[in-house]
Amino acid sequence: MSAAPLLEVRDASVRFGGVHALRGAELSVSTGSLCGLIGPNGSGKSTLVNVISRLTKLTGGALLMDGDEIDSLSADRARAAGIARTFQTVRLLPSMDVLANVMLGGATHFAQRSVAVNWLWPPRRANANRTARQAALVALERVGMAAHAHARPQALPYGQQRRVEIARALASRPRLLLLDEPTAGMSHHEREEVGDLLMELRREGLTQVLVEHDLAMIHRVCDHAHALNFGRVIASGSTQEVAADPGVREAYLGHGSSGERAQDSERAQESGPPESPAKVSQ
Amino acid sequence: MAIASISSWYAGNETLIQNILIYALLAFSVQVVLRAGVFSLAGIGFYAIGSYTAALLLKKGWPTVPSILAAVLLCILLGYLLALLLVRLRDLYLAMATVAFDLMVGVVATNWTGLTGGPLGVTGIPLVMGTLPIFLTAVGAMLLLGLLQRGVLGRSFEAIREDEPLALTLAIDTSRYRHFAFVISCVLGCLAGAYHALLFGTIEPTDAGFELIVLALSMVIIGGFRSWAGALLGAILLTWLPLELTSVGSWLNLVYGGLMIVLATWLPGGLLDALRALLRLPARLRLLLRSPSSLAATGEERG
Amino acid sequence: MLQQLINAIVFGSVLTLFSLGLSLAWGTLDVLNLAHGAVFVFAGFITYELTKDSTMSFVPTLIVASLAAGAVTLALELVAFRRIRLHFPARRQAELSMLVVSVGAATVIGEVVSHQTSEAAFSPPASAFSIHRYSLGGSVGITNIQILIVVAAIIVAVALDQGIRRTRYGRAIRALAYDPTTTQLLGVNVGAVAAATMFLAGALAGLAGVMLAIYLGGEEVATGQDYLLTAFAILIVGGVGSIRGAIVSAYLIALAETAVVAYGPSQWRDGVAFLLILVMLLVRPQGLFARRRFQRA
Ligand SMILES: Nc1ncnc2c1ncn2[C@@H]1O[C@H](COP(=O)(O)OP(=O)(O)OP(=O)(O)O)[C@@H](O)[C@H]1O
Ligand SMILES: [Mg+2]
Repeated sequence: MSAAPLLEVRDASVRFGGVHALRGAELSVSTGSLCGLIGPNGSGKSTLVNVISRLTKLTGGALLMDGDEIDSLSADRARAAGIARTFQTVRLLPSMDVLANVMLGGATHFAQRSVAVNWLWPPRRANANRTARQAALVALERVGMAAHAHARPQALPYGQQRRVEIARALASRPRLLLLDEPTAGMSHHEREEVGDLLMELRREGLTQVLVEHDLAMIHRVCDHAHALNFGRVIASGSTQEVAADPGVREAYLGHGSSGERAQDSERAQESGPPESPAKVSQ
Repeated sequence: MAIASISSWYAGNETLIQNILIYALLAFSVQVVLRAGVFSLAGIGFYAIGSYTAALLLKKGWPTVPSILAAVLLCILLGYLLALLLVRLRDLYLAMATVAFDLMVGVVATNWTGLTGGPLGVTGIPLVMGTLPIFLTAVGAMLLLGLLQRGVLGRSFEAIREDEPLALTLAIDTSRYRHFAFVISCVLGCLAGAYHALLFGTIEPTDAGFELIVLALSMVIIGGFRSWAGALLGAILLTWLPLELTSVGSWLNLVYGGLMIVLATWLPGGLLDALRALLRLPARLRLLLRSPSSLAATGEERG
Repeated sequence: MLQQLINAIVFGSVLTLFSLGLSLAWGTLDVLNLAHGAVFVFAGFITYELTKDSTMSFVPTLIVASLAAGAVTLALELVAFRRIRLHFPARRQAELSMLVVSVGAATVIGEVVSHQTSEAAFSPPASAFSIHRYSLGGSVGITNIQILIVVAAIIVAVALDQGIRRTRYGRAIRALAYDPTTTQLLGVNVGAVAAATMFLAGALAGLAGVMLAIYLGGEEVATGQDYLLTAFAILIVGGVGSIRGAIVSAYLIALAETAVVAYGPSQWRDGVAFLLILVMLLVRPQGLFARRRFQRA
């Protein structure tokens, strides 16, 4: 079961001016596992996802994939190396249809090659368009959105937009998939479906990191989980262990004033649609 | 009969057509960067560099094609270097820096009298350029720009414009793409300038000043910045209308200005977008009549 | 020498008045207002219209022309910028659209003015403001309009600097510059603050325009452009959104340009501003004086 770690985060810290978003977070994700990441709002989950997908630079610490340091990798290289992600707020491009959006996710190899050649060499263009389209159609099929390939993303319900995001991440056949609250704003039924999809992907051997507020969901799909609070990992282990951890309960339920806090499952829904656009890379 | 009337129309409008083609090249140079979300107006500075380089080489006795090629090569080199220098700048800062660059080129052209002839400019440039080469260049540019905005490559540029961090996570090396669009823009500006000089035989250092920046930007915004076709539409309208609307005469700029305000506020895709929406209207209506609910699901069109 | 210094200080004061509004609009609202120069000339034009038949005296003229300039800029905000801010969520698209709107507005305003003045330079009559010259010994002297310009610039600069630091409106402005969304969520009426800011920016340009029309004895549409470009250099050197930076760099650039004209190759005067913009953007895009958080590059 416990294979060699695909991804390791060591003593990661990130500062935004005076804000310490991460302070010495440690994380290890073994190959083929589905790892849950929980923590209250502002605890640094998205920042950690940004760090792994290389959108945010580490202020300190190290990031390793297959045992090699990847902290100096740019975000585009990271994607080319197989790290794909979704965003907490849906980021589909409104100027193109669903298929075209997902095709961009399926053309990562093409995107890394010389722009001039991509532009002027017809076989390469044709080939890229064909393979990207195939990859996109397959990915859309997987998430159950093939029927909506030609819809405009903004015309779709929020839950379906989220699935398109997952398809876009899957289209390049990544080795590591980072999902930042993929079920936020979904109905109960839709969440079950996405959970099924993630477990299916896991059976096929895809390593995943799932950021999620809904502890029931974490229980159902993840092998193990890490809990973040104030930029530190305060607990890790099996999902039961993490959920039972007193520190986690305290962090989640507030400092003693548990009564007014909402249930976990409801929290997931409340962090629905648009967030502050000022946070550039959620 | 028909041929005769076409050729007489052509004879009467040749200068207009030449101007449209040259302005179209200049408008392309602005459009290609704006479409990629690169806020550069450096094309206008390269218009000046291209016109001086080609004209001075020609006056030194160089043949036509090598003069133009040398101008283009120089612009590729300078454009590449400028892009390296400006690599950290984005959006309004980049706009400002490139406008400063354009005006700096004008200042140098005015004051480096030994090379450029100073405030008097360059006169007596051999008139070696005909309409055909310009036409072919413009058509070639349209084809190449068409390729640049189609398929996965075209959509990559769109992704960079609309959401740069997202583009990065799609494995698009955004700085390389931005750099690329920048250099293409420089080359297009350079060609427009070189052709203008060799076609009309004179250069003034004030040719490529603030007015030209505003004109090129107006063409692209009024026509539509998302496609070369929009830039072409803008170039045609803004070159042709002043001749046609002599009755409006001096108020014409007022109309442009007002149009720019209205379009930028309500129709950022420019007249091209409006035109497309108009053309789609019958099809949409038909669809709506047949099955009202299917409208949302079938919006197959490119931005 | 002393005379050059006086000239530089007066020029720097005009630049201060002119560039403060531009800096405010860009720093807080992401509006790079290319119509600022046109608004500036517009105020000079209003001055000319009001005084050419010697119907109005100086102070009312100054007030009316400044308010008119503020009103024009406010109209731009209400007609275009506000809508763009609300409807274009992508900041890059919004910035581009607002820039284009301001180019269009500059064209419209410039066209109206040049049409009304038959495209010639216009000058308010000498009776609009009787200029006295006070001799400071030798050939050195200073005129009352020069004194007025410097005093006005100092008052405006201090008032704005303190206003931004101390008042409620100032706090709202700073919050808006830092994070518009959160500011809105905190219950600040962003629309009202933006409108007030744009009005203030326009009125300051107007003030500078009136004074300059009297000081130079005339203006034309192109004057606005020249000042606009110099003001860009000031913004970049001082740091976008920094009031103090703008003030300091306005005087520095005035000094540099005056020195180039007086002692250097005077035809390179315009080059000073452009070169400064390029060099600054390359070396220190956040400006000499601004703190880092205002960096948007
Ligand atoms: N770009 C940024 N600039 C400044 N501060 C930031 C930035 N991004 C995140 N932060 C801050 O870092 C902290 C961690 O944020 P992060 O988004 O990682 O939290 P999170 O665990 O994902 O929360 P949520 O459950 O709300 O998504 C927060 O205090 C946030 O305000
Ligand atoms: Mg988050």
